[in-house]
Amino acid sequence: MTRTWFDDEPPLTTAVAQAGRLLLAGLRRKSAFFLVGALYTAALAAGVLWTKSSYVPEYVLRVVEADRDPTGVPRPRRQLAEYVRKAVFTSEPLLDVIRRHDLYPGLARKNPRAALESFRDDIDVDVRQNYFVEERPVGAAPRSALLFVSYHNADPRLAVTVTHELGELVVTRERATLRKEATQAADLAKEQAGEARQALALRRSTVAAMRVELDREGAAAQPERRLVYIGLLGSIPALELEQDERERREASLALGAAFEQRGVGTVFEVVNDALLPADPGTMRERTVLAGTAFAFGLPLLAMTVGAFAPKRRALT
Amino acid sequence: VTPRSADAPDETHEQLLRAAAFLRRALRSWRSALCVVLLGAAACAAFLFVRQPTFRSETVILYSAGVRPGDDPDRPDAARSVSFRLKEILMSRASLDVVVREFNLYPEIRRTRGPVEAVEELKKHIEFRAPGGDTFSLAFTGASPWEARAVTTRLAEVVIGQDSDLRRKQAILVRDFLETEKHATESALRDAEIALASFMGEHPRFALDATPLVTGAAIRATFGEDVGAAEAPLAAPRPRWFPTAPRASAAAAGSVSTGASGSAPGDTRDAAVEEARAKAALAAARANLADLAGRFTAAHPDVRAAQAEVERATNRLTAATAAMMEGPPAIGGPGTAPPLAATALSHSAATFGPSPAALVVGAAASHPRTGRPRAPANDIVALETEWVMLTREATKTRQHQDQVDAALFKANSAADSEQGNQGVDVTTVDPAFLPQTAVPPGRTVVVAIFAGVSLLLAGASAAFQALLNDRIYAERDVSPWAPVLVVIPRRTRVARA
Repeated sequence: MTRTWFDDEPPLTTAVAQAGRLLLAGLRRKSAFFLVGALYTAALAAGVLWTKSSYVPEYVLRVVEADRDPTGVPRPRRQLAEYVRKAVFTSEPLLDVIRRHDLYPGLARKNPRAALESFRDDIDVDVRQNYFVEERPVGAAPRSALLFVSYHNADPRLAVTVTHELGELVVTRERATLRKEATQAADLAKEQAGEARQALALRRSTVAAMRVELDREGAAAQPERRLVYIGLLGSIPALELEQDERERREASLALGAAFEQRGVGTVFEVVNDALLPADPGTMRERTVLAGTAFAFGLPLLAMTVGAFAPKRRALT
Repeated sequence: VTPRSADAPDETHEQLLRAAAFLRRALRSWRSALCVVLLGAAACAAFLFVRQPTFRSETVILYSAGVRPGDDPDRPDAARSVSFRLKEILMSRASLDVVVREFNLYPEIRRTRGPVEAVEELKKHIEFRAPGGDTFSLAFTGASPWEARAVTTRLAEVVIGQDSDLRRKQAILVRDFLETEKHATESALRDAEIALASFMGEHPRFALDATPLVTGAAIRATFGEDVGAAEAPLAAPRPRWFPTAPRASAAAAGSVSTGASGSAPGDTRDAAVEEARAKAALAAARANLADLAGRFTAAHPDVRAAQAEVERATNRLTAATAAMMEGPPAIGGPGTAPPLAATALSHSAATFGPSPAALVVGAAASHPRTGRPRAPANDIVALETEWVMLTREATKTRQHQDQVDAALFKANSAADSEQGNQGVDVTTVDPAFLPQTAVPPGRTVVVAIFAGVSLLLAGASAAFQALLNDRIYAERDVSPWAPVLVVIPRRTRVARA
């Protein structure tokens, strides 16, 4: 049986013995060990006491589109999170929130733009169960999405207040946008229906006038004019159809606009009003973590001190 | 002699001492390290002097399509196409050239390499992103904060304005095209209906056909042996707007009669025939609708077309019934209609092409649309073929016209919206801001980077010199290779001793 280099390797017990020797050597150097141990303990205590907690309350909104014909109401945004981040949390309202709550005071005085960017970094917007990405078939139930808005801050009260304001900002601005869109569409449809009505009335009056003329002329009427009359008469059903369609659309959009005006079109239900958990538990967690670090770190420190112990010289 | 102790802790201490010795040896080359640091500082100063700070401003545009009648299935992904279009507008040379001239950007490049290169340079400093949610961000990096803000604002204005113009032009173009198409379709439909009407004028028994084509052909075939007799009682009824057709048909061998004929039917009979036709048409439309409704949902285009057909037939029946109740139509009066119509049709032949009368008169000649010879009146197969052909032609043209009408309705709405600026709403939700700091890295970061790199190079230089230095400074420099016999302490230590 041949021996390999692996057989010549020292066993694991040698490593344990070596560690024990290092530990004893470290403990023998009492002054160095106590100095390093005291520094380590102080660092742990400072970490526990001075590390600030970051509170992240969540404002959860359930956005439900209007329970109506989807072609008569404003369409919900498919990429709701991106829309809220870019189109709702714009500079002006966020700067206003910063000013009112005196957020990032030093930075805001020195460079408001940087404060705004920091504020944006501390805001999280997320969308879950977003059914707006799917098309809504005719007759299907209204789609919905859950919108999560949160803001990180060390001060729990401030975190809750700011998160709450951000959530309300989403609701206010989005309602205003939807109202504007619905009203614009209704106004346009009304205008178009009016035009169609006017066109039909004009055509009818033209036909009536021509008929009177043809009746008066009788047999002497020019055949071309008679054919023109036929053409005009034939165009009336198409105009009636168009007017009918436009009036239907006008009615649908007017109803949609009324729904949005009264706030019963697209619905924003507050699912979670930026509440914090009663016991965040961060202090306890940190104390336990520091205790563990102390228990395992002290022997390691002793071994380290032992490793740097000077070699003992023996004169022969 | 310093023999190694058997129970020494380990090699760690020895390694540490070696490292310290090497560090001491490296520190002896502090002059070269200092030179490297000084060189780095000079390079940093030169870089900061040469480098011009840049400032970045950004604006966010919201593209809101508003309330739309519905998604057009023919359109590609709308958001993506909008993004591409806006980017194309923004990066087009025509748009950027205006901005370059207006703000006098890159004057050196314009002077030396021309305006095209200046536009290319501007493109490098523009950033366009579509993060989603119908928002688009547009940023520009300029030489000063004010320039950055002004150019960004202007670029946004250019994009919004040109996009609006483009949409307006497209909407008007589509509407104009559809209007032209509608005129052409109307003309084709009129021709098809005239041809069908003249055929029905010639062969009135076809006019009452409210059954499917095959069934109708079968029914007529049962009477086929007496074609002339079957047509005789119905020879008088004629299409509503072509009162001379049957008479002209009867006199096909001769010339068109210009006077009222004794065989011409009364208008009451016309109305009765029209009512019968309307009833037949309504029954046929209802049967068709029932058939389609059994196979498809109510949203199917065929079912909707059938419903519209039923509505039309109902209206036609209502009108026919009303006409019967009212009596003879007003135009021309009962006695004057035939000669007037005959005159009208003969006149219109020159103006509008082949008139119904001419078609009827030329029944034995050729078909006006197909150019093929017309079927003899007693050839039932040829007549059925022609009837099917004409009916299909009229139906096809009518469907085409319906589609054009629907598309024109949408195009009209779109064009009206665009002209009134009420369609797509493109707004700047976050205006361009005045940047307060230069684009990173700033001066502090640049100095820190240079300092770090200089120190690293200085350390490397010292270490390299220490490696190359073969002088002996301490006992440790010799002990690995040879036993140390004696150590002479430093002069200072000697003095202290």
